[in-house]
Amino acid sequence: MDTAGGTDLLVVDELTKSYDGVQALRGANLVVKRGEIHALLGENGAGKSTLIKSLAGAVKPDSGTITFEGEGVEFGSRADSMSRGISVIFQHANLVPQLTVAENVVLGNEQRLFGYLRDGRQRQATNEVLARLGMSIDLNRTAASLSAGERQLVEIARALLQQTKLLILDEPTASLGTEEVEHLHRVLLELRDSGIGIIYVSHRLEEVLSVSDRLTVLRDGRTVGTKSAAGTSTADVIQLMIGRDASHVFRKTSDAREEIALRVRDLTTPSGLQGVSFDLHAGEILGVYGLLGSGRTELARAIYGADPIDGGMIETPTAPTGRKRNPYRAARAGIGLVPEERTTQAMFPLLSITDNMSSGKPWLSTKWGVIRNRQRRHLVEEMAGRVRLKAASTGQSIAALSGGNQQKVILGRWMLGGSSLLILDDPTVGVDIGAKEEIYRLISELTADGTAVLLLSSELPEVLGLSDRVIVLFHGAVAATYTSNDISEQALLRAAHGEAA
Amino acid sequence: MTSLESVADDTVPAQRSPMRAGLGIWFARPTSKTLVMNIGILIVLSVWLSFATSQFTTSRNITNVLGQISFIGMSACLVTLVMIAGGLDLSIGSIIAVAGVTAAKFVADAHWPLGWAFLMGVLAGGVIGALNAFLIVGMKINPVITTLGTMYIGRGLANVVAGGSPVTGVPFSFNNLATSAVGPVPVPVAIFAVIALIMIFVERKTILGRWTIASGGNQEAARLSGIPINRTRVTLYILSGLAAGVAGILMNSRIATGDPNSGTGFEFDVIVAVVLGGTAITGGQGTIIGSIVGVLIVGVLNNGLNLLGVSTFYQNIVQGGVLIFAVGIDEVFRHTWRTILRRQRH
Repeated sequence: MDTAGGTDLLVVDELTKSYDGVQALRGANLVVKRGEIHALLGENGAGKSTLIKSLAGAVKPDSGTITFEGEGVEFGSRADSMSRGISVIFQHANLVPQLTVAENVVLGNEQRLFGYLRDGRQRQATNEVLARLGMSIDLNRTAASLSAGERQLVEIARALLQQTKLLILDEPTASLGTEEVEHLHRVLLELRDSGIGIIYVSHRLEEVLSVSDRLTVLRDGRTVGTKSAAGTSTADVIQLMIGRDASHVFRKTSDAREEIALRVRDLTTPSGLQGVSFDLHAGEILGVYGLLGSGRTELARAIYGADPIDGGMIETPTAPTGRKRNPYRAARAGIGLVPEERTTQAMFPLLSITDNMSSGKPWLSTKWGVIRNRQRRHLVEEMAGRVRLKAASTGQSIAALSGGNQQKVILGRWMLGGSSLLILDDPTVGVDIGAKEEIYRLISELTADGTAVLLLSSELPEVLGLSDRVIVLFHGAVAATYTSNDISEQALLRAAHGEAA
Repeated sequence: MTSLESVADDTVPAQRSPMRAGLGIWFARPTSKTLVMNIGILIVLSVWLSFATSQFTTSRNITNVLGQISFIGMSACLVTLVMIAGGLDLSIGSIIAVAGVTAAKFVADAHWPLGWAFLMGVLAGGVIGALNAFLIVGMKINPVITTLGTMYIGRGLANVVAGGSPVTGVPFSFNNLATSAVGPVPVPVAIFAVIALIMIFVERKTILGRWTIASGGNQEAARLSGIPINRTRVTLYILSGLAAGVAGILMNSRIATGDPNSGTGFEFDVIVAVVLGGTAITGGQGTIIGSIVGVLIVGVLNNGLNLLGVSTFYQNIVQGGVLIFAVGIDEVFRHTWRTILRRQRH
């Protein structure tokens, strides 16, 4: 496709951004022309979402410049960016479910006459825009009654009504069927031809390549290449996405034993797992890799008993099976979960380090329900030393710690007294490099005494470096299994993208 | 900050940086500042009342105030824990009546011995507590709605059983429980002290106390760290019903009958005291000690308004204002505390 005629709409130059010591962007560059569809690609954590948020005005970059329509801009808020003509459509549609289509489309942009909504004219405008998108929807239906694809189009309609110049779509096809994807792509091509610039973020490489004009790949917060989409294969893109030297090896020898610590068979859940089966041996680290929405977190929660299951079997030597599974029983049976969302699912922000760490296994420091304080303090301080916690005292509130140290407290919660099975769901998310290395060291030490570790992660090097074996999830099912000898990053990433290995 | 590794090695206690320790005193536990302030308010209020009125410091009045404080206090100890765990119990005022009427009926109509009749009254409170627990924990109905409902159900039941007016035919000895004393201490005050001490112990030194604070502070995290949040909440609601039952038989013993209208507005006094004492309405935060100071303030304030001859209508206005003020203060502190934490981290 020839789009050489387009002029630069957006120029992002050397953008950097760090959150609490974690460098999310280290120099991102991106040039989007008028009338082009530009794919923005990269692994999980490569910096795509931070870059999008910077453009949307939701995040303020530390350094670097954004030039929009030839003018240097700094967005203080979402409204700022919107008023310039940038619209972001996130994966999960941002419609108010109770409002009708018409109300949603004009939301925040209502035409008023002495405070009264001018309904008629708005409806007319909405109808025109929807027609342009090839969509015929009753304007009185509520957003909640729309399909995922229709909701997306309504959002695009809203953007068009606001005279958008740059449309950013974040994983727009994640929840769409094939026909809906095709329709969306037709709409995007039409919008492109009308001169709108489009940034298209997706994990579905083939889809993205088929509709884009050019693509930019981010890796570790840096732009590693911009190419024309024509003549670029998915293999080329994956090569660009990985590209790192594979020197990040955290461990070599396996502690795996004969006995099985966890046996999962045909696990099917309402949360989206479809027939997952695998074995995990004592002392083994089993990596589970998968993209957003592949079922990683759902697997962790199902095994721990936090979510119900439809069918299949989860068997551990100590915990009950079937309907009797729940987190309380799992914890009693020596199973621990470090959840994905630390602040909302693991921490008690108002309580001390001691309380936070001792909450998982209270029986270690109680007798007849009465807390034996000295013993508890002793246990916690010993563990704080082992995980190298950096804190003023164990009486300190956990909320005042850095992300990495908070995670060490949560890890220590399950290391107290030892666990037979540890489920770690993205254990280093939002953790700075130093603490990351220490968490890796802890994980590899854990297996020496026979603890089985299920390491679910969105970070490729983490899975590759620590695991004895790796399974890859795709759409709630196991797409591939690898042993540590025959893993390649390319194969793993391909399997995670749903391509046959 | 020093690393904890050094703490584990030797016996020297952890070094706190001076700034963090200083802020910690005031902000690490927002309730401690509330506590200090409340004790101040209590002292000022009491001193002022002892000058402004002639009766405040008479022994008769003090006994009266202590009685009121005891009833509110024994219930407040448990309601504090219920609220820390993220719940609420509005049914306690009606439990007062249910417990009193039940005990009186067992004595007057069934001619049970007094001790057993009182026990039945307390258990009736426990039954309503169990009903609350079943609806809130088992059926997952909102605690405000549930206990508002059981508050009306309880009041209605008490009136049905009693026949719409205080139970008659109660022996004179029914009155002895509330009016006798253990040494110099009136029985209600002694019972309150025992309940308070036990509950403070439970709150601070037992795993139930930790579970209570944890499940109110972050319910999902509590569940995922293996805390039996349902069992915790069920226990607390039943205990709250039992405590209100004890308060109920004592209040009705004092008026020597089973009055279906006793305890009207009781839940308001208790909740004002708990909130004034620094318990967060959103749960996760609060202390029984704080609530007890709150109870003292409410008791002294109510008594003072009576002694000053303020009409009931104006009293209601003041009491409502105090409740809103207490919640407002709570919000302001929470905000300040968050801001400070944020600043510390960056």
